[in-house]
Amino acid sequence: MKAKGSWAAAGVLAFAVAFALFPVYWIVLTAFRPRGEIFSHPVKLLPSEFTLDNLRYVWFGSETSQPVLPFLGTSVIIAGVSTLLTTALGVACAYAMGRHRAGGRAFSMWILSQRFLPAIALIVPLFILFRKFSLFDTYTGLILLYTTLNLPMAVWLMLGFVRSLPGDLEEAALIDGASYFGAFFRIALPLLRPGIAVTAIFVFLFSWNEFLFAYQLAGDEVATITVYLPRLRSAIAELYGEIAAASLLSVIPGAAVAWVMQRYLVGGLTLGGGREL
Amino acid sequence: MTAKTFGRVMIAPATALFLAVGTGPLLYALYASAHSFPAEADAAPEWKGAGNFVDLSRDPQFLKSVGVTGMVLVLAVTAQLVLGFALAMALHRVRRGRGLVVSLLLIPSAIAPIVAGIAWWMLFNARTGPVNAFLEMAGLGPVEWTVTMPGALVAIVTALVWQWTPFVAVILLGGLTTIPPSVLEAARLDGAGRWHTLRHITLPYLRPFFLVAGLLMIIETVRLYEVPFYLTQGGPGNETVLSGIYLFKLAFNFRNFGGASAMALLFVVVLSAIATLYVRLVSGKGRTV
Repeated sequence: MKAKGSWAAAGVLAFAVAFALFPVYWIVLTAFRPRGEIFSHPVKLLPSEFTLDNLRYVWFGSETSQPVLPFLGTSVIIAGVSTLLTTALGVACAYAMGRHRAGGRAFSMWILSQRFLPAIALIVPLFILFRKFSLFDTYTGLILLYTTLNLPMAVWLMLGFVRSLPGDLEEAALIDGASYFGAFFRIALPLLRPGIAVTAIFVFLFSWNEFLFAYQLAGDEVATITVYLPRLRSAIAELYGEIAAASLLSVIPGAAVAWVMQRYLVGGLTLGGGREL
Repeated sequence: MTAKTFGRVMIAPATALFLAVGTGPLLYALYASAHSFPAEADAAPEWKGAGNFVDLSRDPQFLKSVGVTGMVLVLAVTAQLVLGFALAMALHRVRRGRGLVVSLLLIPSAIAPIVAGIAWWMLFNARTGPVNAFLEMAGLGPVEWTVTMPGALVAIVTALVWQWTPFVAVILLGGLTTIPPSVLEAARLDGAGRWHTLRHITLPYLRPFFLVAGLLMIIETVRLYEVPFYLTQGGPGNETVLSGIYLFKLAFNFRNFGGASAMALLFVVVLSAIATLYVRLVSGKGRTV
């Protein structure tokens, strides 16, 4: 009876993993598939011929597509800088809230409410403000925006880590004559590293994946990879191969950061769950 | 320097940013929702009172977008919760390799929504997509998924279920691990059957987790933009212009800043009501994340 149950469970999981990965498989398959085969009938579900043409077209550009690299570069800059800013501001804010009750309960509720403020509610005012302060279609504009949008989540994540950190070491340092800033930078910050890494992964992924604001408040001079992708779709030519190749390239940096940071976490997390993250 | 000053210095930058880019614009949206914006760029906005809200209540496209969003909401969130629960039960049962399975399952949630839209657009392609290929193997005719109803709706809901069900399952799995084994053991000794245990022990323990997952999914669906933007482009006609998409049409295609702000504020009110419920649940349990 019990064994039968776990077989059923394993079956459910196998099906779920297959369903979760099939779209990824299809993107990879299409990205490396010659044009003729993409349109063959009946549809081929398994790979047969292999080509790098699609990747080459989006990497170097072609008649129908711009080179992808500058867009990836823009995304790296925007997601990278805003991740740095968000984690720095987030850890400072969470530390002050967690250790010194800075701002009190009202402040923490205000931040939590920001977390649930639907970002799209801000689009019209932001559009007008961005125009007014020449932030429209600039790196600064998007970086400030992503930092603000992700900060509430960063603060709440970090707050959990700050609260789980015993304060004895900082208190000892304060008694020994360290300043509050000294205790924060020299004692607390190194101990909070695993929490900072987790927060940074989330913030980076959200910024990297963001499309809506990148499309509506920028997208001309400053165009991210998520804005590049829909541009490949045209009514005249059906560039499935190129679209798949570009999508694949767009997923890699985010996945790489998550993976690298995850390895970094394993040593730091004492929960024994590092492998599972 | 006192602890108080130190705390203020530390929270000052974040506070400034929230005021400038968060709360400030929100207040401006409030102002904009009561005004109309003339076509000339430099002209001052004109007072319109509740006019924008009245216009919305008579705008068939707005009402339609709310209706379609409601439909997607009910279908997608129900499927996410039911399937997520089944998945969580399966995950809970299997110990070996659970970490690996969870990280594979979470890949869809980590992928950019726009890429999710692209992937499902390819899968549902009437001529080159594998969905119709599978149907053909089963002897069923090709379906023009993204350009007919209810095909387009099915495509959107499928993409949402794909992207978020594992995420829901992980939340519910967290809930399942809070059930003390002794309780389940006691139930077994008392002769409780599987159905009985599920109904009177497992589900009551999972209630708060279901609520949290459900609320997060509702928020995600109400603000939904990328998937219908790419997958169906709002079509066929404007059958799948969800509320998130209509807001942008109003603002940027029709240049109706007042109307778009009014609609945005309705979002804020509805989602705040949901968020308040969430905060109650979360703070009631003394959790922080």
